[in-house]
Amino acid sequence: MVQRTFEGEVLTEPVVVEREFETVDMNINIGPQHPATHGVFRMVLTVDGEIVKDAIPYIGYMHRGGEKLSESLDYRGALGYQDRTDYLAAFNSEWVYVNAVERLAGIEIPERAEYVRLILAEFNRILSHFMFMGAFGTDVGYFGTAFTWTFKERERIQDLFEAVCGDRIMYNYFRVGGLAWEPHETFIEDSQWVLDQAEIGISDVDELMTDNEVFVARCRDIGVLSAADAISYGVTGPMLRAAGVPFDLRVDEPYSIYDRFHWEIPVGERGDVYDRYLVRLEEMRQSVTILRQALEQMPTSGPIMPERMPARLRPEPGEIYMRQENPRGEYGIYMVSDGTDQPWRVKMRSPCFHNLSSLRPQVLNSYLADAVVALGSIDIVLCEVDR
Amino acid sequence: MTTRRTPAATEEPPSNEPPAGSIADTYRLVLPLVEFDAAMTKGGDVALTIAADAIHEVLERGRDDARLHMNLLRNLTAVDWEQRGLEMVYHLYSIPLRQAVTIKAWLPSQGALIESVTDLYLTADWAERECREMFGIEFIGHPDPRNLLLDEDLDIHPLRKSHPLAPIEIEQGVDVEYFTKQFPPPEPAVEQEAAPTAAAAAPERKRVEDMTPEEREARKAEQAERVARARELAAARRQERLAGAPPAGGPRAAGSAPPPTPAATTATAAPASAAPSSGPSADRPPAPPPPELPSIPDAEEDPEGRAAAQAERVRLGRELAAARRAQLRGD
Repeated sequence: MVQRTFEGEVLTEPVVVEREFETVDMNINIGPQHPATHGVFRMVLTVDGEIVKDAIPYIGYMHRGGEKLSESLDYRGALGYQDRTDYLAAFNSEWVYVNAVERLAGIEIPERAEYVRLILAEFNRILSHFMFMGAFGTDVGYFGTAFTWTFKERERIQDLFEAVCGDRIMYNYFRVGGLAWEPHETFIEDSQWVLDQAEIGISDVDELMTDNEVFVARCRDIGVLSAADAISYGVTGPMLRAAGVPFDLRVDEPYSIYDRFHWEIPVGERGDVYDRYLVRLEEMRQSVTILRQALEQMPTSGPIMPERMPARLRPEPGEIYMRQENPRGEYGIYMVSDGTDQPWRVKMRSPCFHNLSSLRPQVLNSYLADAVVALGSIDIVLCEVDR
Repeated sequence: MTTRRTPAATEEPPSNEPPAGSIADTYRLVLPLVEFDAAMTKGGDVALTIAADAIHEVLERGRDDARLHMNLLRNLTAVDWEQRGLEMVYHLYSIPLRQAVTIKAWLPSQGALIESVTDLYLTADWAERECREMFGIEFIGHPDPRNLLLDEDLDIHPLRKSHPLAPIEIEQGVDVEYFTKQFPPPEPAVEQEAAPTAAAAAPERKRVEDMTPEEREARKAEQAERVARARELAAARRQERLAGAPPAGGPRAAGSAPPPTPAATTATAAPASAAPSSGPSADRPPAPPPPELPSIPDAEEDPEGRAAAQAERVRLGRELAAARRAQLRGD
């Protein structure tokens, strides 16, 4: 853990100040209702002056028993619940779920539906990262500017989603086998326009934050997580890539039609908060690259659902662990079928759950104010952590 | 709510052998003494079923051996198969070698015990805590077995199939009927029998929308009473726990997971009766019985004792793991 003094000198040990008086360790409770925790998350920090000596996270305030509920509904009924796990990347979560059911039941998906799904999911990745930039900027100290700028960009993408599926957050648009209905007529043109605007927005955020001296000073060498530790903690997604591990399920275990596009995996070096920000920023640009190719290749006409679909899905007994790359990491659905029309077991592997469990080593022996920055850089969605 | 479904208890899930040269063969090569029952899942992964007492050995060698290099424990969960027992599921992935595998182990429904893998994968800490509270599986050697997602005082296992899903789960997910059934009040409530009969004169339950205002009031009062009773019970239980004298076999023994009786312990060591396909081979040495776990006192009550008990649990788990490893290696 690297510590900096006020003079900017870098020390490898925590700052030790000769004190006249004895200090007492103090417990500080943060949350569950606190804006810096991005939801109902609570942590109890033990501080010695300004240095965090211990951190105990508490989760579960948003636990709604989603796995149990999914097991008591039929295969299609639990789909809407997926929007309520990762609400910032609802298309991605829905996609994992429908893919799991399709693979379990052996249903083929029309190519056009696959393209629409991929386009919406990649747009959702950009949207989610915009949201991260805004919220993280507020954590670091851009009161307002980053938030309003990124929300402006996010708003355009949400308008596109609203035109496609009629909802702004809880989309519920994917169906087992394809899509609920045709996207609107000008879908491709609208997407091109939104994409152009988003690219400008990404550059704006880049110019606003990346080279800002205060921002860099606030983010460099904070919350460092080594690659070995990150893997051991089950950390995935941009956090793991920031630690230098080029692990992206879109490449490592290719699913859908990602093998048809050319793009790169951004990787960090130090595994600190600043690298996580840079990786996410570059990932948005790579998503733009993917989207440009996908919008070009997408067939303009064709079916979006298979011709024949069973009224009730009764997959053969079996199991599947479907995993895909969500904006926050590996989102997985472990689904077990017993031959009836309800899944016997549904387990949601939430990336935030595992990413958040690595919080304690990141904040130990750091300043209290840096602990909030480290927490913000994990980009947690508590609905997904608690399920 | 739909009626309860019965699992296909008699039918074996269709098992298709993985192709030759798959990761199952690598595992057999690395661990010749462990018996693997391999099958393909519908997602194209290889699922290996092993005896529950070999789980630590299999995961450790899988992580450290260069041919497997399973460095990412991406998912850890369990499946409740009711009569057939509980099935532990570990999803592993090797980032450098790009290979995935699923490791499974069968446990008995009652008194399920398995070695913790927190010393191999740091992520198992939270995952096992979640699995423990949701299914009532004890992880031997887990340093901090508290509730994670559920309320800290709750001793229910919601993802068990025997846990009912109430229409309205009152008070933070506590199903009061289930709760009162699990912890019956000390005296048979004779006067409480009389009061609800007057209120619940209607032969069947009416929907709330169809009720008259008086009936709604009565229903509200009844619910409030039930909640109050559940709260009293919970408070009494907490008092009992704080007062010391935790029941033998672990702090949670009074709940739905009974203390590991000798019979249950042997069932853990040889889960052949629960799972026909996962029995250890005849020449395998029998596992040593798991040690008696010390109970963990409350943090406010006795912080040193708590730390000592946690350390003791870890030490016992490590000892057991080491002994079992030595035995499996044939030392």
